[in-house]
Amino acid sequence: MQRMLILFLALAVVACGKFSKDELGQQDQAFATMMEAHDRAMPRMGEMEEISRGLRAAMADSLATDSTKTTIMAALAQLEKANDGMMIWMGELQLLDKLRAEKEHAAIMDYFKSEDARIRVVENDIETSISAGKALLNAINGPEEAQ
Amino acid sequence: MKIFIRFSWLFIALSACSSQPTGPLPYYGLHETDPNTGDTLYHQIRDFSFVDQDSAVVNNATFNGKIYISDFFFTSCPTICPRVKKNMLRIYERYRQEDRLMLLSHTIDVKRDTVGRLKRYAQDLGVDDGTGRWRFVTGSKDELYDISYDYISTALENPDAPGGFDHSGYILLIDANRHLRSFVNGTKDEDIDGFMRDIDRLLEEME
Repeated sequence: MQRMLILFLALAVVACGKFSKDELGQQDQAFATMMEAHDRAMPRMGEMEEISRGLRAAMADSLATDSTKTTIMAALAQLEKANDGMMIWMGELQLLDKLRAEKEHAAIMDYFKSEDARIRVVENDIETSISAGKALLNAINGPEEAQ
Repeated sequence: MKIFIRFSWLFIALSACSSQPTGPLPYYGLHETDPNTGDTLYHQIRDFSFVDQDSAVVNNATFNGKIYISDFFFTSCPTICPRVKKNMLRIYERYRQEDRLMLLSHTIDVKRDTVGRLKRYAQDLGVDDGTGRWRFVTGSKDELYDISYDYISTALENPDAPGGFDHSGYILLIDANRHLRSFVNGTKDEDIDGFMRDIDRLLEEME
Protein backbone atom coordinates (compact mmCIF):
# COMPACT_ATOMS: atom_id res chain seq x y z
CA MET A 1 0.00 0.00 0.00
CA GLN A 2 2.83 2.40 0.95
CA ARG A 3 4.71 1.56 -2.27
CA MET A 4 1.57 2.23 -4.30
CA LEU A 5 1.14 5.59 -2.56
CA ILE A 6 4.75 6.59 -3.27
CA LEU A 7 4.38 5.49 -6.91
CA PHE A 8 1.13 7.44 -7.21
CA LEU A 9 2.67 10.58 -5.71
CA ALA A 10 5.71 10.26 -7.98
CA LEU A 11 3.42 9.87 -10.99
CA ALA A 12 1.39 12.89 -9.92
CA VAL A 13 4.52 15.04 -9.47
CA VAL A 14 5.92 14.00 -12.87
CA ALA A 15 2.55 14.48 -14.56
CA CYS A 16 1.99 17.93 -13.04
CA GLY A 17 5.50 18.97 -14.07
CA LYS A 18 4.42 18.73 -17.74
CA PHE A 19 1.94 21.57 -17.38
CA SER A 20 2.10 25.24 -16.50
CA LYS A 21 0.18 26.57 -13.50
CA ASP A 22 -2.27 28.19 -15.89
CA GLU A 23 -2.89 24.93 -17.76
CA LEU A 24 -3.40 23.03 -14.51
CA GLY A 25 -5.94 25.66 -13.46
CA GLN A 26 -7.80 25.36 -16.78
CA GLN A 27 -7.90 21.57 -16.45
CA ASP A 28 -9.20 21.74 -12.87
CA GLN A 29 -11.86 24.21 -13.97
CA ALA A 30 -12.94 22.08 -16.96
CA PHE A 31 -13.18 19.01 -14.74
CA ALA A 32 -15.19 20.92 -12.11
CA THR A 33 -17.58 22.33 -14.74
CA MET A 34 -18.20 18.86 -16.17
CA MET A 35 -18.78 17.40 -12.70
CA GLU A 36 -21.39 20.06 -11.91
CA ALA A 37 -23.79 18.33 -14.30
CA HIS A 38 -22.99 14.99 -12.71
CA ASP A 39 -23.53 16.39 -9.21
CA ARG A 40 -26.91 17.84 -10.22
CA ALA A 41 -28.10 14.60 -11.84
CA MET A 42 -26.74 12.02 -9.42
CA PRO A 43 -29.01 12.87 -6.46
CA ARG A 44 -32.00 12.23 -8.78
CA MET A 45 -31.12 8.52 -9.09
CA GLY A 46 -33.04 7.64 -5.92
CA GLU A 47 -36.06 9.51 -7.24
CA MET A 48 -35.85 7.55 -10.50
CA GLU A 49 -35.86 4.29 -8.57
CA GLU A 50 -38.85 5.44 -6.52
CA ILE A 51 -40.82 6.28 -9.67
CA SER A 52 -39.82 2.97 -11.29
CA ARG A 53 -41.15 1.13 -8.25
CA GLY A 54 -44.42 3.02 -8.44
CA LEU A 55 -44.74 2.17 -12.13
CA ARG A 56 -43.97 -1.52 -11.57
CA ALA A 57 -46.63 -1.62 -8.86
CA ALA A 58 -49.11 0.01 -11.23
CA MET A 59 -48.29 -2.54 -13.91
CA ALA A 60 -48.86 -5.41 -11.47
CA ASP A 61 -52.34 -4.06 -10.81
CA SER A 62 -54.75 -6.60 -12.32
CA LEU A 63 -57.06 -3.79 -13.44
CA ALA A 64 -54.42 -2.17 -15.64
CA THR A 65 -55.29 -2.38 -19.33
CA ASP A 66 -52.89 -3.65 -22.00
CA SER A 67 -52.57 -0.13 -23.32
CA THR A 68 -51.64 1.21 -19.87
CA LYS A 69 -49.13 -1.60 -19.40
CA THR A 70 -47.49 -0.77 -22.73
CA THR A 71 -47.22 2.90 -21.74
CA ILE A 72 -45.77 1.94 -18.35
CA MET A 73 -43.22 -0.35 -19.98
CA ALA A 74 -42.08 2.47 -22.24
CA ALA A 75 -41.70 4.82 -19.26
CA LEU A 76 -39.77 2.17 -17.33
CA ALA A 77 -37.45 1.62 -20.31
CA GLN A 78 -36.83 5.37 -20.50
CA LEU A 79 -35.92 5.49 -16.79
CA GLU A 80 -33.68 2.44 -17.15
CA LYS A 81 -31.91 3.95 -20.16
CA ALA A 82 -31.29 7.19 -18.27
CA ASN A 83 -29.98 5.26 -15.25
CA ASP A 84 -27.68 3.19 -17.47
CA GLY A 85 -26.51 6.35 -19.21
CA MET A 86 -25.23 7.77 -15.92
CA MET A 87 -23.65 4.51 -14.79
CA ILE A 88 -21.90 3.97 -18.13
CA TRP A 89 -20.68 7.57 -18.21
CA MET A 90 -19.17 7.22 -14.75
CA GLY A 91 -17.65 3.86 -15.60
CA GLU A 92 -15.92 5.26 -18.69
CA LEU A 93 -14.84 8.58 -17.20
CA GLN A 94 -11.07 9.04 -16.94
CA LEU A 95 -9.89 11.04 -13.97
CA LEU A 96 -7.46 13.93 -13.97
CA ASP A 97 -4.38 12.17 -12.61
CA LYS A 98 -4.50 9.49 -15.30
CA LEU A 99 -5.17 12.01 -18.07
CA ARG A 100 -2.30 14.24 -16.94
CA ALA A 101 0.05 11.28 -16.97
CA GLU A 102 -0.96 10.22 -20.48
CA LYS A 103 -2.14 13.25 -22.48
CA GLU A 104 -1.12 16.75 -23.44
CA HIS A 105 -3.01 19.84 -22.29
CA ALA A 106 -5.01 20.33 -25.51
CA ALA A 107 -6.10 16.68 -25.56
CA ILE A 108 -7.20 16.89 -21.92
CA MET A 109 -9.28 20.00 -22.59
CA ASP A 110 -10.86 18.35 -25.66
CA TYR A 111 -11.65 15.27 -23.59
CA PHE A 112 -13.43 17.28 -20.89
CA LYS A 113 -15.33 19.27 -23.49
CA SER A 114 -16.60 16.08 -25.08
CA GLU A 115 -17.42 14.46 -21.70
CA ASP A 116 -19.20 17.63 -20.61
CA ALA A 117 -21.46 17.33 -23.65
CA ARG A 118 -22.07 13.64 -22.90
CA ILE A 119 -23.00 14.20 -19.24
CA ARG A 120 -25.39 16.99 -20.22
CA VAL A 121 -27.22 14.53 -22.48
CA VAL A 122 -27.36 12.09 -19.56
CA GLU A 123 -28.65 14.82 -17.27
CA ASN A 124 -31.33 15.71 -19.79
CA ASP A 125 -32.34 12.04 -20.16
CA ILE A 126 -32.68 11.79 -16.38
CA GLU A 127 -34.83 14.92 -16.14
CA THR A 128 -37.01 13.85 -19.08
CA SER A 129 -37.53 10.31 -17.78
CA ILE A 130 -38.43 11.59 -14.30
CA SER A 131 -40.95 14.06 -15.71
CA ALA A 132 -42.51 11.42 -17.96
CA GLY A 133 -42.61 8.81 -15.19
CA LYS A 134 -44.17 11.25 -12.69
CA ALA A 135 -46.75 12.40 -15.22
CA LEU A 136 -47.74 8.81 -15.93
CA LEU A 137 -48.00 7.94 -12.24
CA ASN A 138 -50.15 11.05 -11.74
CA ALA A 139 -52.43 9.94 -14.55
CA ILE A 140 -52.75 6.42 -13.14
CA ASN A 141 -52.88 7.00 -9.38
CA GLY A 142 -53.54 10.67 -8.83
CA PRO A 143 -50.96 13.37 -7.96
CA GLU A 144 -50.22 12.30 -4.36
CA GLU A 145 -48.87 8.88 -5.38
CA ALA A 146 -46.18 10.30 -7.61
CA GLN A 147 -44.60 12.56 -4.96
CA MET B 1 9.69 25.12 36.02
CA LYS B 2 10.11 21.52 34.86
CA ILE B 3 7.43 20.42 37.30
CA PHE B 4 5.12 23.15 36.03
CA ILE B 5 5.62 22.02 32.40
CA ARG B 6 5.00 18.39 33.35
CA PHE B 7 1.79 19.26 35.18
CA SER B 8 0.69 21.50 32.31
CA TRP B 9 0.97 18.57 29.93
CA LEU B 10 -0.90 16.36 32.39
CA PHE B 11 -3.63 18.99 32.68
CA ILE B 12 -3.93 19.30 28.88
CA ALA B 13 -4.05 15.52 28.51
CA LEU B 14 -6.76 15.20 31.16
CA SER B 15 -8.78 18.03 29.63
CA ALA B 16 -8.62 16.37 26.24
CA CYS B 17 -9.77 13.09 27.71
CA SER B 18 -12.61 14.63 29.67
CA SER B 19 -14.00 16.30 26.52
CA GLN B 20 -14.65 12.90 24.89
CA PRO B 21 -18.16 11.54 25.38
CA THR B 22 -18.36 8.43 27.49
CA GLY B 23 -20.96 5.79 28.30
CA PRO B 24 -23.21 3.85 25.93
CA LEU B 25 -23.78 5.12 22.41
CA PRO B 26 -27.29 6.32 21.47
CA TYR B 27 -29.78 4.12 19.61
CA TYR B 28 -30.98 5.66 16.34
CA GLY B 29 -34.45 5.25 14.89
CA LEU B 30 -37.94 5.24 16.31
CA HIS B 31 -38.31 3.67 19.75
CA GLU B 32 -41.37 1.76 20.90
CA THR B 33 -42.40 0.57 24.33
CA ASP B 34 -43.29 -3.05 24.88
CA PRO B 35 -46.88 -2.90 26.27
CA ASN B 36 -46.31 -5.97 28.44
CA THR B 37 -42.89 -5.33 29.93
CA GLY B 38 -42.53 -1.58 29.52
CA ASP B 39 -39.11 -2.18 27.94
CA THR B 40 -37.92 0.14 25.19
CA LEU B 41 -37.77 -1.56 21.79
CA TYR B 42 -35.18 -0.06 19.47
CA HIS B 43 -35.31 -0.09 15.71
CA GLN B 44 -33.56 -3.14 14.24
CA ILE B 45 -32.03 -3.41 10.77
CA ARG B 46 -34.31 -5.65 8.70
CA ASP B 47 -33.54 -9.20 7.54
CA PHE B 48 -31.40 -9.39 4.43
CA SER B 49 -29.65 -11.90 2.24
CA PHE B 50 -26.99 -10.94 -0.30
CA VAL B 51 -24.10 -12.57 -2.14
CA ASP B 52 -20.49 -11.48 -1.59
CA GLN B 53 -17.35 -11.29 -3.74
CA ASP B 54 -16.78 -15.03 -3.20
CA SER B 55 -20.38 -15.95 -4.12
CA ALA B 56 -21.05 -16.76 -0.45
CA VAL B 57 -24.39 -15.84 1.12
CA VAL B 58 -24.20 -12.91 3.53
CA ASN B 59 -27.15 -12.41 5.83
CA ASN B 60 -27.90 -11.27 9.38
CA ALA B 61 -26.46 -14.51 10.74
CA THR B 62 -23.08 -13.63 9.19
CA PHE B 63 -22.77 -10.91 11.83
CA ASN B 64 -23.96 -12.90 14.85
CA GLY B 65 -22.19 -11.69 17.97
CA LYS B 66 -20.29 -9.03 16.02
CA ILE B 67 -20.62 -5.36 15.25
CA TYR B 68 -20.26 -4.18 11.68
CA ILE B 69 -19.63 -1.11 9.57
CA SER B 70 -21.88 -0.64 6.56
CA ASP B 71 -21.85 1.55 3.46
CA PHE B 72 -23.27 1.81 -0.08
CA PHE B 73 -21.14 2.27 -3.17
CA PHE B 74 -20.53 1.17 -6.75
CA THR B 75 -17.25 0.28 -8.37
CA SER B 76 -17.41 2.82 -11.22
CA CYS B 77 -18.20 5.79 -8.98
CA PRO B 78 -15.71 8.59 -9.70
CA THR B 79 -16.53 11.02 -6.93
CA ILE B 80 -17.90 10.16 -3.50
CA CYS B 81 -17.15 6.43 -3.29
CA PRO B 82 -13.35 6.64 -3.56
CA ARG B 83 -13.30 9.13 -0.68
CA VAL B 84 -15.62 6.94 1.41
CA LYS B 85 -13.64 3.80 0.56
CA LYS B 86 -10.41 5.50 1.65
CA ASN B 87 -11.99 6.07 5.05
CA MET B 88 -13.46 2.55 5.18
CA LEU B 89 -9.93 1.35 4.49
CA ARG B 90 -8.65 3.39 7.43
CA ILE B 91 -11.20 1.70 9.66
CA TYR B 92 -10.32 -1.73 8.24
CA GLU B 93 -6.60 -1.16 8.90
CA ARG B 94 -7.16 0.21 12.39
CA TYR B 95 -9.28 -2.80 13.45
CA ARG B 96 -7.45 -5.43 11.40
CA GLN B 97 -6.82 -7.54 14.53
CA GLU B 98 -10.31 -7.02 16.01
CA ASP B 99 -12.33 -10.14 15.23
CA ARG B 100 -15.52 -8.71 16.78
CA LEU B 101 -15.82 -6.19 13.94
CA MET B 102 -16.69 -6.73 10.27
CA LEU B 103 -17.34 -4.47 7.27
CA LEU B 104 -20.22 -4.71 4.81
CA SER B 105 -20.24 -2.73 1.54
CA HIS B 106 -23.36 -2.90 -0.64
CA THR B 107 -23.18 -2.11 -4.32
CA ILE B 108 -26.07 -0.10 -5.71
CA ASP B 109 -25.18 -0.95 -9.31
CA VAL B 110 -26.34 -4.54 -9.45
CA LYS B 111 -26.31 -4.61 -13.23
CA ARG B 112 -22.59 -3.94 -13.63
CA ASP B 113 -21.09 -4.86 -10.25
CA THR B 114 -21.07 -8.62 -10.69
CA VAL B 115 -19.52 -10.99 -8.16
CA GLY B 116 -16.36 -11.12 -10.29
CA ARG B 117 -16.13 -7.35 -10.44
CA LEU B 118 -16.63 -7.06 -6.67
CA LYS B 119 -13.86 -9.62 -6.21
CA ARG B 120 -11.44 -7.59 -8.35
CA TYR B 121 -12.45 -4.43 -6.49
CA ALA B 122 -11.70 -6.05 -3.10
CA GLN B 123 -8.38 -7.36 -4.42
CA ASP B 124 -7.42 -3.95 -5.80
CA LEU B 125 -8.18 -2.40 -2.42
CA GLY B 126 -5.96 -5.03 -0.82
CA VAL B 127 -8.66 -6.27 1.55
CA ASP B 128 -9.52 -9.64 0.02
CA ASP B 129 -7.47 -11.25 2.75
CA GLY B 130 -9.27 -14.58 3.07
CA THR B 131 -10.67 -13.73 6.51
CA GLY B 132 -14.07 -12.66 5.18
CA ARG B 133 -13.97 -9.61 7.42
CA TRP B 134 -14.93 -7.19 4.64
CA ARG B 135 -17.81 -8.35 2.49
CA PHE B 136 -18.73 -6.62 -0.77
CA VAL B 137 -22.25 -7.68 -1.60
CA THR B 138 -24.76 -7.57 -4.39
CA GLY B 139 -28.32 -8.85 -4.61
CA SER B 140 -31.76 -7.90 -5.82
CA LYS B 141 -32.06 -4.21 -6.60
CA ASP B 142 -35.27 -3.97 -4.59
CA GLU B 143 -33.75 -5.53 -1.50
CA LEU B 144 -30.69 -3.29 -1.68
CA TYR B 145 -32.89 -0.26 -2.18
CA ASP B 146 -35.08 -1.19 0.81
CA ILE B 147 -32.19 -1.77 3.13
CA SER B 148 -30.47 1.44 2.10
CA TYR B 149 -33.63 3.27 3.17
CA ASP B 150 -33.67 1.31 6.40
CA TYR B 151 -30.12 2.38 7.28
CA ILE B 152 -30.24 5.98 6.11
CA SER B 153 -33.75 6.92 7.21
CA THR B 154 -32.97 5.43 10.63
CA ALA B 155 -29.71 7.36 10.85
CA LEU B 156 -31.43 10.62 9.96
CA GLU B 157 -34.52 9.71 12.03
CA ASN B 158 -36.59 10.74 9.08
CA PRO B 159 -38.76 8.22 7.22
CA ASP B 160 -38.62 10.41 4.10
CA ALA B 161 -34.83 10.67 4.07
CA PRO B 162 -33.14 9.64 0.85
CA GLY B 163 -31.67 6.15 0.79
CA GLY B 164 -28.19 4.99 -0.11
CA PHE B 165 -29.27 5.07 -3.75
CA ASP B 166 -28.97 8.80 -3.47
CA HIS B 167 -25.28 8.32 -3.03
CA SER B 168 -25.11 9.87 0.40
CA GLY B 169 -21.69 8.55 1.41
CA TYR B 170 -22.72 7.59 4.94
CA ILE B 171 -20.77 5.01 6.93
CA LEU B 172 -22.91 3.32 9.57
CA LEU B 173 -22.12 1.41 12.76
CA ILE B 174 -24.40 -1.49 13.67
CA ASP B 175 -24.26 -3.31 17.00
CA ALA B 176 -24.52 -7.06 17.62
CA ASN B 177 -28.31 -6.74 18.02
CA ARG B 178 -28.81 -5.04 14.65
CA HIS B 179 -29.28 -1.56 16.12
CA LEU B 180 -27.83 1.49 14.42
CA ARG B 181 -25.53 3.13 16.99
CA SER B 182 -23.48 5.69 15.08
CA PHE B 183 -22.92 7.07 11.60
CA VAL B 184 -20.69 9.54 9.81
CA ASN B 185 -20.45 11.24 6.45
CA GLY B 186 -17.72 9.09 4.91
CA THR B 187 -16.44 11.92 2.72
CA LYS B 188 -15.43 14.01 5.75
CA ASP B 189 -11.97 12.78 6.67
CA GLU B 190 -11.93 14.97 9.76
CA ASP B 191 -14.95 13.18 11.28
CA ILE B 192 -13.60 9.64 10.96
CA ASP B 193 -11.52 9.77 14.14
CA GLY B 194 -14.67 10.57 16.13
CA PHE B 195 -16.48 7.71 14.42
CA MET B 196 -13.67 5.34 15.36
CA ARG B 197 -13.99 6.49 18.97
CA ASP B 198 -17.64 5.43 18.73
CA ILE B 199 -16.50 2.02 17.46
CA ASP B 200 -14.19 1.76 20.48
CA ARG B 201 -17.05 2.64 22.81
CA LEU B 202 -19.28 0.02 21.23
CA LEU B 203 -16.55 -2.59 21.55
CA GLU B 204 -16.22 -1.62 25.23
CA GLU B 205 -19.96 -2.13 25.66
CA MET B 206 -19.51 -5.71 24.44
CA GLU B 207 -16.99 -6.53 27.18
